[in-house]
Amino acid sequence: MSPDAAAVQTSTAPAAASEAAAEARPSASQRRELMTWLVATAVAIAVLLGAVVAMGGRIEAATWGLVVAAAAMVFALRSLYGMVIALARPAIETALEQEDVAATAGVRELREERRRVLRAINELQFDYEMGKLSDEDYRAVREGYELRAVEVMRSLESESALHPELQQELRRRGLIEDDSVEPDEGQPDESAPEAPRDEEDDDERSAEADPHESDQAQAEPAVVNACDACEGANEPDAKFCKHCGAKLGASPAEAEADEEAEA
Amino acid sequence: MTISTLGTIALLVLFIMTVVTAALALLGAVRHSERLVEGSVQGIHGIFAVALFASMLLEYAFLAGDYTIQYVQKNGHPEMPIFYKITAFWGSLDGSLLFWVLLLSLFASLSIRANRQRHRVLIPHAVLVLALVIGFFSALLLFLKNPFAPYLLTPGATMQGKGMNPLLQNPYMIFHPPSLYLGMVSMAVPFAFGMSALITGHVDSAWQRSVRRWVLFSWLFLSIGLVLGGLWAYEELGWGGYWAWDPVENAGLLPWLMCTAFLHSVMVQERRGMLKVWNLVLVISSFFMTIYGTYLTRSGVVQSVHAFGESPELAWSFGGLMIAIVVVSVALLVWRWPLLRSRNELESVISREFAFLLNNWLFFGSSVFIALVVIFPTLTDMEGFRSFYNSALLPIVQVVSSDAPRLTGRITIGPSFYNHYMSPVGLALLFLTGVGPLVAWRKTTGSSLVKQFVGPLVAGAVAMVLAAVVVPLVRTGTTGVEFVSVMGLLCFGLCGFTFWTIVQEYVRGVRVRRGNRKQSVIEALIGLMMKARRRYGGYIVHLGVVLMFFGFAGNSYKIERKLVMHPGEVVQLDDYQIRHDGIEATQDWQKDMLTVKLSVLDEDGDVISELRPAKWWYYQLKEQPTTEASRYMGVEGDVYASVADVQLSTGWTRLNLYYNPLVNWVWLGFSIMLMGGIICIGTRKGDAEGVS
Repeated sequence: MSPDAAAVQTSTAPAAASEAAAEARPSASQRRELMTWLVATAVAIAVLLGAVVAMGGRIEAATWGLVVAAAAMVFALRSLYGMVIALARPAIETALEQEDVAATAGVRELREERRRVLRAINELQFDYEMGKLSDEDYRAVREGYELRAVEVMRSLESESALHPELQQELRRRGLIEDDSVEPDEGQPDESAPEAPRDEEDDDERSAEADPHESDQAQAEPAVVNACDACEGANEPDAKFCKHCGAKLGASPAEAEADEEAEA
Repeated sequence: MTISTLGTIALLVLFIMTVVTAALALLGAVRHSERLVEGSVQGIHGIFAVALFASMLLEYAFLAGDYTIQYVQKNGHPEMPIFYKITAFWGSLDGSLLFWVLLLSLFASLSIRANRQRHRVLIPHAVLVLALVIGFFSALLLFLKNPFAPYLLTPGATMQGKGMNPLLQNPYMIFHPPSLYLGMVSMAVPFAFGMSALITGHVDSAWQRSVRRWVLFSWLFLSIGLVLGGLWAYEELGWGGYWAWDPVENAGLLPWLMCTAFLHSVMVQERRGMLKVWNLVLVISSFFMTIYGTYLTRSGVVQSVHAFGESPELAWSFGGLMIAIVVVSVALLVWRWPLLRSRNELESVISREFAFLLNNWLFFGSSVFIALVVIFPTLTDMEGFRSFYNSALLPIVQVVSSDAPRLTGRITIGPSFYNHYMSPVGLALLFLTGVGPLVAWRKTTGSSLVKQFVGPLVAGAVAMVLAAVVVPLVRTGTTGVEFVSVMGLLCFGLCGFTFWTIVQEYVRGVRVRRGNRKQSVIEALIGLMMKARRRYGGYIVHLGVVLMFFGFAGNSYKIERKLVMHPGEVVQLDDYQIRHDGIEATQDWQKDMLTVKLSVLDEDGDVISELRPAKWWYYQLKEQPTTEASRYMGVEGDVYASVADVQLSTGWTRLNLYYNPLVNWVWLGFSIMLMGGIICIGTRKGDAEGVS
């Protein structure tokens, strides 16, 4: 497995797992609605069981049919009410709620796209190792997938959030700039686009970086929550590294204080 | 308020809701109004709720025995077991349409809920299409075939129920119709999302991701329904076979063929961005074939023991829907043609893309061929069509088959015609099942070709030689049957070829996996299955197909004897002897029974099994006795007996005796195929393929 794919997969697998877990958790309103239905169902079952016991277990099939039909009618009325409510809400309220959901959905889609592309790379490699692809075809197709993966990751998060090993590989290929700031984020692109730079230049830049600079993402994970295991940068409130999944040790404030002491 | 009135009101509310939901979805899409779109989404959920209420009301009517409702009176009976009272809901035409609406609305609600946020841009038009389809069926219920329609006579005239058709009071018939319904109805969801993709212009792979699992679900239940139907025919109808190319059997097969093609073809679009038009055509055709199948079974245009009956109004209604589907779909495809261009080209005929393309043509072509042949006898009943055929089409047909006759009246087309054309197609598909995994994407190099093919080709040749040598040895030929069947030998050979391909894939996959980590063979195998479910689940499906074809090959060596026997007589059936031991007369609450006692003897004359074929006369269907077959099951085949006619007083018995080699491999193969399908359907989003 090549280093970049290993880096991409290593950085993404635990993150994907945590993202999937986060997506699976229902919202507070969904939990409330679910609880309401569960309680109502439990009450209905308790009443039915009580009726069965009271009548000595002699409830006919037709009675059960009537109960089920009545429950279905309640469900139908509730659904019709839901439709009326949806139409009666002010348009702006629905639009705002859907935009909020859309923003989340958009990010989720990008993450899903990232997973798909990585899966495709894995499958391609598997086919290659099974002897079904020539070297030339393997390289050509894989490069296409990797470029797509990078494109998706750049859309998803800033470059500085990328795994350091991946950052180096992307710089080597000339796919990202030396400067960590995205031109389309509105920040001035102070360094002109150049050929891929080597690690020495990166080390110089990181040494010169001011850890108290603005809260935009930096190329080197010097300020924000850096992982002890892989040195990947993470959000300040992250508890686990999104690149390798390791538990993050120090709090951001402590990390900053440590870095100030080192500098 | 009576149940009849309440049920009819529910159907009216249902129909109105579908119209309102469709209108909201259309307006919401045109005006980009989130409020209207959300209203339509809630409308779809509401449609399901109302359909559920109407269905539960009908079930209550059956359980309570409300025989003022015509449908309940014709299909219910006070002494029917509760289970059959419940299943009587879909036992006849009107109720089956309501069952269709219930399932369709359920699937619509679930699919919209699942894709509401993931594929937001597709939702409004998907809701529109689903609401229109549900609206069509609701209109049929409300205006043509209301299951809540009451008797208009006075209460004294309503007698107790007649009860469900006895042929349907059978465990297979409990599961066979719902399975087929689940499979056919669920095809509306992929169709709706496919149409939405065309309307919105989002024709990349996104819409397929929203429906892949639905198509797999549909395929799974169509498979279950078809095989259960075959098993029922084999065990209950007594003609010794399991598939007769009956029009209603074909009605379930047509969408299955399109569905199978689609499940394979999507892989090409996902990997190479090709076959976009094909995938849309296949998903539209799958849905079209479900409507066509429904048209065949409910309109009366074809003659079949399975058909629901005749209804010219339904024939016109479904005909109109089919025309609308074709016209709208073609218009959308033409409009969006520029967006459907492939990202890549076909680079070699020795490539997986070409194998899938051939696969598409074979499945699509078979489905269209069967669809046309099914309706052909009905067309030949029309004077106008006969004139057109004799003047315009016959010259073309005679180029292919010089002895094709002129049409002078209605013709019938039997199983031999279908077998003649479909058997080679089936073998070609089996061949592609083996070839597909062996060839590479884009192109297969010469060295790779040799490496991949040598094992399977050798295995195929060995299998064919073995069959050619072994079959005549195990069959004594006492009945004078020809034991050289070219199709049979070819089938055995291809089974060996494809089987070896599957084994090779597993062996190499385990080897690759173990090369990357320290694992035992079992661990690597399990890891392979867990991590690459779609691929290796698919191979298990293919293994099931191979076993089924192994069973089909045995059909080429079938032995059949129709003869008269008396008690005490013994006849030879291949390596077995069948002895007539007498006739027994019994009865129960719903039927009289005459059971013939037969003993199966081996070559030494020892009894190895007993058979009990019978004739039953149901009291409510005295003029139509049913045949109960009996069989001795073995790995190598079945000894099968059914009663054609019997006289208790003299013991005179006309029997149909069959020896069906390898038939049980068909059922075993299906079970494995089902298992593979379940593995595939359980693919999770986060699963990586292959080695990681």
